[in-house]
Amino acid sequence: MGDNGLDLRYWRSQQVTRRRLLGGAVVGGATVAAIGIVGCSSKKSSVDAVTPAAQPTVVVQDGTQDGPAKPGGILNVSLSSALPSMNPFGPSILSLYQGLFLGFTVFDHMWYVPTDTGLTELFLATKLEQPDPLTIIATIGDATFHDKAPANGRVVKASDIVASYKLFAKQLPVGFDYLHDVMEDVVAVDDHTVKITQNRPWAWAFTSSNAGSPWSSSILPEEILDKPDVMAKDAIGSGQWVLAGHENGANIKLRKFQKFRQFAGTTSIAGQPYLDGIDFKLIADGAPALAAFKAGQIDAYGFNSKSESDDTKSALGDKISVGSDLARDFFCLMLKYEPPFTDDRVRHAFNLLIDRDEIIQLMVEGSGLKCPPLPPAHKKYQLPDNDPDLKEYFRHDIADAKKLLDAAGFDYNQVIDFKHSVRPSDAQVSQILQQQLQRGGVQTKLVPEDLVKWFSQSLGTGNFHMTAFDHLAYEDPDLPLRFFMAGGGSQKNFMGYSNDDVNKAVLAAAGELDETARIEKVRQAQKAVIQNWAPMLNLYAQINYGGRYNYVKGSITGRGSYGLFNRTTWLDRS
Amino acid sequence: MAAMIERERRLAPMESWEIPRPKPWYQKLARLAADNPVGAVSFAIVVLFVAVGVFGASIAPYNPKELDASSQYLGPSGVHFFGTDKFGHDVFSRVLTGAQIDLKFGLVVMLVGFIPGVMLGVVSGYARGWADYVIQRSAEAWTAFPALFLLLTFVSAFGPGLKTVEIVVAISALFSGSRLLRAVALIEKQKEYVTSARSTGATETRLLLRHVVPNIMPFILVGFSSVFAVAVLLEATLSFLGLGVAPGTPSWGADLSFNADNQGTKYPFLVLFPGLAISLVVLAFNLLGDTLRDILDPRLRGSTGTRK
Amino acid sequence: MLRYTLRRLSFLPIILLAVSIITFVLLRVLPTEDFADVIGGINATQEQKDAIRDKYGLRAPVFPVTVSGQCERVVWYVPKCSLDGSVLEFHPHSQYGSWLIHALRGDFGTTFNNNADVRHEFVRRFPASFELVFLSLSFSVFFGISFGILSAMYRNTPLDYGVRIFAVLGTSIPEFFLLTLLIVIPSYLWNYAQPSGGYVPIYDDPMHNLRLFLPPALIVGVAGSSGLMRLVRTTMLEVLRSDYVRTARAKGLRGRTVILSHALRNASTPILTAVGTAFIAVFGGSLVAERILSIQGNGLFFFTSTLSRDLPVIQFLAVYTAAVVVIVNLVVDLSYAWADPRVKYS
Repeated sequence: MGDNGLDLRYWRSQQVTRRRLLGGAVVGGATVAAIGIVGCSSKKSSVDAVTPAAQPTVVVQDGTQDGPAKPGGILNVSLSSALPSMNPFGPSILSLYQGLFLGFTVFDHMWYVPTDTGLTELFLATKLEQPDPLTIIATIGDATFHDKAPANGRVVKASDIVASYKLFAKQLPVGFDYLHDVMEDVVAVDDHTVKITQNRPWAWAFTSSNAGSPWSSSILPEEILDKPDVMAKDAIGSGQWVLAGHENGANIKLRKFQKFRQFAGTTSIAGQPYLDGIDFKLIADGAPALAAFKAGQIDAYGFNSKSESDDTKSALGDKISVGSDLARDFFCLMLKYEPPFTDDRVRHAFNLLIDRDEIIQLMVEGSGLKCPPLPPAHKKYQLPDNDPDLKEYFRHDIADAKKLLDAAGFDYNQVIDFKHSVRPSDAQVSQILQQQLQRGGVQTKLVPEDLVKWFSQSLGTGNFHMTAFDHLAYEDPDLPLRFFMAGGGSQKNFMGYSNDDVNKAVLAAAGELDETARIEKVRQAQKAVIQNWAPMLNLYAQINYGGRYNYVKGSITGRGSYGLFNRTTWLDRS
Repeated sequence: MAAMIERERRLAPMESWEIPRPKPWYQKLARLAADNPVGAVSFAIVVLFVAVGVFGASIAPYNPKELDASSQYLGPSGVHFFGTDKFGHDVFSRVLTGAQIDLKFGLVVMLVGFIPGVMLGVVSGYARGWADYVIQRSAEAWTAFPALFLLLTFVSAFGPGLKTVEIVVAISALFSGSRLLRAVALIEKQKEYVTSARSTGATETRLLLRHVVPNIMPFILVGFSSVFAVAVLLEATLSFLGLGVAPGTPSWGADLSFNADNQGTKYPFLVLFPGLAISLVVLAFNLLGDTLRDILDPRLRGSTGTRK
Repeated sequence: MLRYTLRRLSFLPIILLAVSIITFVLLRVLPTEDFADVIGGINATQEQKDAIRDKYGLRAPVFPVTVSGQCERVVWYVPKCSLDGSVLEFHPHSQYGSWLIHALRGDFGTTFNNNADVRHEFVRRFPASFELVFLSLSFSVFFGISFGILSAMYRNTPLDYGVRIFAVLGTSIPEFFLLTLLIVIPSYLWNYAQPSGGYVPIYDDPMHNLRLFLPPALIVGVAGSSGLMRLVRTTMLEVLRSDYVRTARAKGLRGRTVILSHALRNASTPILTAVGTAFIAVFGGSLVAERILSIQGNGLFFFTSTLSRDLPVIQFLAVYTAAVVVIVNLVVDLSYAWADPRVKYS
């Protein structure tokens, strides 16, 4: 992701390339919200002397010192896969991809909570009140929709917001715990007021896994919501960019919405976005996209690895600058809670057999972080490094693993089926894990499956013994912890695992409204996960590297999904 | 009459009446190779390919699947002849092992597709009738379509994987075998030795097995060679597209795609070696087929061009 | 001639019907995977799955006629059916029936993936595919015929050997290898990138359009030309040896006139057949090129649709491909008569 975070790096890994398809489907708990679409770049052009650090560091820069913005210009970036449709809400979970893409660009939202600060920023809302823990009242400003039929630039009303939430909940009837379980109702009190009522206190109500999701909270004009044909072909919103054209979802042209949020009380700044537009060129694979970036056909690019970033930097020198950002997705190994994995010692032993450092080296040439039960993106809630449980989680010791397996009476002659999707990153991690387990005498057989089939018929139905994939960390700690628990709302975990300690600890964190106490409870929940060797073993989260030509100015990155809401990018080709 | 024979005897040099002592087979072969250097070289490559396919995994200097985090992306050297890839795999070992997939694939296609096709072709060319008509029309219809489109349609029905590819390529081989051999059988059928054998009261089956089949053996070899080339090419293409072998299996097509995506623009040699391996083997099979065709029957020239 | 054309054309609907039935069997009868599971996502309830099946018309019987009989498998490949008490059933609302009725009206349904009109999606992608196939075929024909003739005229000279080596390399080096090199090598050597993605019509920006299409068309075209090249060479050699060419030469006609007006014309029948074959090769090769260079054409459309099992798209494109194949063969057959007046159709 380029500077302005507009190259959807996460999705490049997810999407249909040679053997990738419908990547949007791969979302953990089926509750989907803001995903790890990350912006990365650096403002400084002095990143040249790159020394390989023992602990990979993230170079987050912001472009606020680039001087006064010069509005205008079109930014060229790549897109790895065509949007299947322009309908953000359907027909199924597979609409996640276009839902997020358009949610970040064409559609507006009432508010957003960037992960780095955790503070609510007002978007369309000018005021946000919570008179009691169960009620949220939002007052919205005077914005208009894009000037396209049938909305024709009319004013955005509270009823549009309500209708959009409701359509989303109807179209995606399962998985969204908050919309279906916690949110009691959402009503338009008048044209400018939206009232959300909840059936229980919810610590994460505003964050992007819930009512503030860049997907489910997208605001569409009421009159097109019952016209799926219109929705499939054109996206009409009130966001910063107008969808000016696309070829079957590829080669998308976005143009500046001149009347974007021109009212007081929001966090947006008049004149933004500074660019006249962004053109997304479809380039499916990494090699041609990198070639296009080197040749200057695209202005920003998300590298596959640190060395690719370093090489490009040394080849192009001062013409580009590079930066990095911690990815929001992470890899994990899931074990079905069935023999032999019902024995805690076997799961513990498997964890000991995993060499996370080697995986990180092989997959991303060392530029990644080992992933504890709560992915590293949720910095505030992490267990301290010296926590004894965390140390045990990251320990790699084949001899100890064998002792545990022997003690558990593990049958070394069995060959365990290890399913994985054919998506390159999943397939690669699975191959590495197979070799690592073999060093401890554990035999597995890789069973590659078509991505959609794997997702819906193997992972989703818990029809596997082992599987490894690129999971999503979402934007608050609640969801990643829910992957380990059972019984919360409609959510089941894929492993068929349920442990009272874990379940209670996770729910306790969600119900705790005081932040300091909540941080502690999230840590306790992680300890419960480790102590019980819950059968999802997290592996690593990578660091994304991005580059951009130096004429791209003003980008702010390193803010998780917030990168995509970034409107400060401008071009100075002089 | 007797006088005529006597005259002939007198005119003909005596030696011609002696049965010439057969030359040892290696001399014949050497003669053949000297006359067809291209064919000889391609035959040698084919033999090498088969040998590597059988023994490649055991003579490979490294385990082609063994991970090595300390030797990623090494250039070609005396230690790693073809360099190493993203996982530290020795590319040379993977190229050697990759031959196995293609050899197996080609043999399956031969056994399941081409050889039954040959029999079908001989029988249908020999017997004619409605069965012949049906077989020939189906073969025409099948071969009229681009192979890749047929493969993709089958992939959508049966899912990706080498099995699906094998089915489709085997069917193609079945039809090309039957078409080639039908044409040959039609010609052979009219030849004198068949007519004369028939007049001596040989049964049709016996005729077919004892006379026709041995006479068309050379043509089978020609077809075998070009069908093998197509099989290797299609396996590689489908694996390249991610619809063939399972991820991680050493296979030339899949490795090429993996290496192109992982630092291919920085280390083009990673793309080059698997690509050259495919090209070389396909080239050898094609040239061998051409040579055999030239030796065996100039009439067949151009009639069995490979099809992609 | 006209009658022949009409008779040949009358086969077209029958062939298309057969192809559509075969695709239906392949896509809807044989697979065991439940499409509703796939599109419904992992937590879909039974009712939601039924709703999906209703929406995509997957609940109706596949074909309008079914025979219910008692079958058992004697050996795995030999079913033994007893027709006693079997019933021939007709279904007014079968999947195939409704597909066919709509298809006859020119409506090929909507894509499963995004509810878009299949025909519309096809038409939008057509120009890119057409240009790629057209350019590739032009290269194929140009190289195939010109090199083939040269090679025959200068038989057993270095030129001939060069052409023959070129031809055999063209058959042997996989297109995907060359196309990958097209991306990798210029980037490695000169930081130049073959543009990919983003179709620009030739009348909007000829330079960009040609940069986009010429290199892949050259690769696909050359690969498709080798069969043609060999055939032209062989045929020309035979024709050149024939009596009438010798006569023409003897009459003192110049070499070029002999080649172009006599020999080539007489060799036209097999050459036209080979052009038809080259077209099929190029048609398949363009799919690989579209995939590797992210060209949004119908080949890539077919590829992604097969992966996501978008049945209406696959059905339409299968029928379309069949139509193209049949029409190309017909055109080839008809052009025999144009090229070689001795050929008469009745």
